[in-house]
Amino acid sequence: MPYQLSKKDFYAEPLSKAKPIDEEFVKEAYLVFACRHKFCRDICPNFDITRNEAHSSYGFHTSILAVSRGVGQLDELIDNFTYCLECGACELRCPNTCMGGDFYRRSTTTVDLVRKIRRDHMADGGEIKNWSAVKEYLDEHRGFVATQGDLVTKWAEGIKVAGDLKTALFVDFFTATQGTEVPRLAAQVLNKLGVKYGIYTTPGVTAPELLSENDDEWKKYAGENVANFKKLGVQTLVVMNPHDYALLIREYPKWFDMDGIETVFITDFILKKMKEKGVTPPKAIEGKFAYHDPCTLNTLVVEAESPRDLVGMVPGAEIVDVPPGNQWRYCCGNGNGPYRKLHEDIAYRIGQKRLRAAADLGVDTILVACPHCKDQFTDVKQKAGLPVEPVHVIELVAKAMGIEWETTSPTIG
Amino acid sequence: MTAATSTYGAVTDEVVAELKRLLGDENVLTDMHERAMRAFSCAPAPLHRWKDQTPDVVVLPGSTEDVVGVLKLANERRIPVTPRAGASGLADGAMPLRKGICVDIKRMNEIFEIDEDNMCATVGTGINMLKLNEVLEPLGKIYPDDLAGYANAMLGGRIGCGGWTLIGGKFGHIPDTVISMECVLPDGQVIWVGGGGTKKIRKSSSGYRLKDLFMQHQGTLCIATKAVIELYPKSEVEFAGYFAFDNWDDAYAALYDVTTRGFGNLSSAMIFDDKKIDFLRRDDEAFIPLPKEVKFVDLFTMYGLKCEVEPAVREGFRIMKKHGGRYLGPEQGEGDWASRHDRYHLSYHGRTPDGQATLMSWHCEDTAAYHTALPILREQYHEIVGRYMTEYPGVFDDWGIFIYTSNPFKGWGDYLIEIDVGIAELQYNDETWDAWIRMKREIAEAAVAQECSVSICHGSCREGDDDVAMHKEMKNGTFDIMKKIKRMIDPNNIMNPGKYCLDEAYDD
Ligand SMILES: Cc1cc2nc3c(=O)[nH]c(=O)nc-3n(C[C@H](O)[C@H](O)[C@H](O)COP(=O)(O)OP(=O)(O)OC[C@H]3O[C@@H](n4cnc5c(N)ncnc54)[C@H](O)[C@@H]3O)c2cc1C
Ligand code: SF4
Ligand code: SF4
Repeated sequence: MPYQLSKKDFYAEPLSKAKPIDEEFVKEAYLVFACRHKFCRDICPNFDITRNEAHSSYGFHTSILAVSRGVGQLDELIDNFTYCLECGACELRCPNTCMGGDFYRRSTTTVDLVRKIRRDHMADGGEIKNWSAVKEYLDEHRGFVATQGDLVTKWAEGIKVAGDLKTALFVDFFTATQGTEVPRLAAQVLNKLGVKYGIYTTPGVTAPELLSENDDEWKKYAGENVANFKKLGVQTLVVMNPHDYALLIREYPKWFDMDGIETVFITDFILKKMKEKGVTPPKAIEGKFAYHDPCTLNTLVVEAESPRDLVGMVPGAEIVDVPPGNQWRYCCGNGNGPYRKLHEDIAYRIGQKRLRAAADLGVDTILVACPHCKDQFTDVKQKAGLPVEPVHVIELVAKAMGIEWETTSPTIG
Repeated sequence: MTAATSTYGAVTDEVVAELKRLLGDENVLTDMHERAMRAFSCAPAPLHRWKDQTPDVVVLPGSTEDVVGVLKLANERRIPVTPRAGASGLADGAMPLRKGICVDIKRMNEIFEIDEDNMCATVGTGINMLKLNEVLEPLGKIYPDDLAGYANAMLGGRIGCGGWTLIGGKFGHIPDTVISMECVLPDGQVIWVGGGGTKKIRKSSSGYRLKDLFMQHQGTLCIATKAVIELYPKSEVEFAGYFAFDNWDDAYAALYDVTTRGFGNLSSAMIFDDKKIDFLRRDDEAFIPLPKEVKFVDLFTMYGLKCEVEPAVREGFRIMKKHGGRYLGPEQGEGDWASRHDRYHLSYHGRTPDGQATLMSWHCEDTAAYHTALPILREQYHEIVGRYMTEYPGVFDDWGIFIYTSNPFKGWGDYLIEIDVGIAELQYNDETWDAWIRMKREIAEAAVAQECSVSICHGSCREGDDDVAMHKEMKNGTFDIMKKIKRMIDPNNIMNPGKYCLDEAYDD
């Protein structure tokens, strides 16, 4: 059962100085303010570094409540609302979510809130410090839309893609261009397993950053995707990037009818196929590994098990890291939105803390299930000089399946 | 003009510039929302008076030297200072009643030393207990400050309140588990106070025992910056047993027997009264549903070595059974005890008379009572809250009573008797706020009339409590000495002014 949070209609109405904040929105802010436990603050990976409680779900909601009471102005809030990784840990830790669930339609939705405040601010002509870097990134994605058909399949050159789109691989621009090893190796693993699939070639702009800038534009791309899935007869959508996966699970159903389309994360899909076909990877890879649960899977959609279980299928490989519940407080530092581009230094310190925790386990490899985590850890490792190499779970599994890949880390094979 | 009423120094641009020079730009916050969110602590608050208690500036010191700099400046300029730690204090000690500088200590969260040989650790006071125990656990050690606000409170606030711990019957409370501490006085002087004059000695007969003076003062005397704390071996067994009773008399008699039996492992014993059980039934997620006929529940917990706990638990069962207690099984025991840090906080706990969920926040009155006062106070507290519920329908709600052992290292004698009150905080206005203060005052007066205490852990420094605590409970000379000490240590009344009626210290 996918994990979904309430769609809050009052988020749709832009906040403006000209009118009071909607009563339902005030209640929403109050619910987090009133919690008193401040669990959301102490679980937050950003707060963990800055120690400024204004940078937390508690802080964000309290600010909104204050403004509703005439204390502070909307346009003064924006700076703080950039200090959110959109990791979702606070949502899950909040009693409104973990005890009330959706029963009262009052789960805490911090990620939606920070995105809303940012885009309302920009729609109102306001600026966000360092946003130009985010805009550049989004423009790059927008530019890619014209040529996406080619680019998205370029990573698969030389790999036999034999199926139709009933089972479609969903590969976004970032993964197709910067995280190529993931879809490439995944496709080869699927071939070895005898699974037929096609490649969905028009994902549009998928970056969650867009939700902080222009949700109508995001919805346009998402809507086109859903229409295409239906037109092309997609039944199973296999997603490579967990950032996309979280959006497909959490956001798409709020706006579009996804009935008839099963969305599956790549590690889950491979695991299921291995089990169905009774295949175990033939090659042992002896070693103890740290494993970083991506917040997109671990807290945003609460489906942390499949990458871990897939590693468990590899003979000799063992994860020695803390369980998913204890990783809620971690993020790699990239964030599931513009964070790393806005707060490079704190992003680095969050990543450094995470990698150091892995190094303390006495391992030399940290497995990841997200191309952004790999990108971020690669950076952090270099800057901090920490002896822990990030390797994607799919790389490990491919190796164990006897698939050679030139850039696979030497530490796993 | 007295020191209490004369005008305080303003937080001018020059003061802010000086603070930035001392702490760095990023650690001095002047934006309205940074300040506004530090106007309150944790209890239902006067939201309608938000601006009146918003600090003028917030500082985030990272070291003792930073705190020294801030306090020296504040003292010279006579600017009020309010220390803020986890801001979970339920007596609102961290509420800056006179605005000024909020000293938010969360960055001071280092672990300086873990001394396994001498079973203690030296830490910054911005550390949270859950985070600290995550580090200690792999070493097989714990810091046993297991309060209900475990995930959010920080050591500085625990010291500021002189806090109480759920498992203090075996491990002691904050005054027992903090061995010594570094304190910065208002003039910037740094002192270290403990059992005697050194850091790691628990029991000393040298001189005055000043540790106790700098404990539970709610930031009115100093800012604690570091502390040496007690470590315990992690318990092999943590047993929690829940027993159902049909009536108060049996539940009360069983509590007496289990606490006076002389167990060495009894960490806590407790009664959930009938109104509390009814209240917990409202929230199925947080509480395992109990059959209708269950009216009262007793709980006892035992921590320690397996070889000690197992026979003790058997004896505990015998006592409960003797009084008609029915064991509610391991699922109830493990489930409810595991949720002891989460139990309070769904704001939809409130119910209208027709059973609809309504937005209310939780407040808890934490009076301290001895055993024979418990039945009297239980009845009086329900009566008081019931009266206000009738007068202000939908604004207040009775969420029941917990009774909890509170004597450190032993079960008998003292108890926390806590009545939880639901409050429609969003609806507060001057009238309902005033009613709330009157209700608190009546509860405090009922406690003191029985020779009990207004607060066991949060501190009696809140409007409605402070007057009763200082002028009635402490009338036998204690408050007079407090005033003299306050004036001597803080001659300019800059440390958290407005709390504990201590402005009176400066009446000429
Ligand atoms: C859900 C919940 C459950 C709770 N359960 C318990 C419980 O079981 N037992 C219990 O004892 N309390 C309990 N409390 C109350 C609260 O957690 C404690 O009173 C705790 O001690 C407050 O710590 P804090 O870090 O949040 O302090 P704050 O609220 O920030 O501050 C408390 C007081 O200490 C002062 N202070 C802060 N830092 C310093 C410092 N460094 N030096 C000097 N003074 C300082 C502040 O000015 C203030 O007066 C609970 C609270 C909640 C919300
Ligand atoms: S989403 Fe993550 S980073 Fe943002 S406030 Fe919540 S816990 Fe912090
Ligand atoms: S980069 Fe990795 S850890 Fe960070 S938000 Fe994305 S999935 Fe989470």
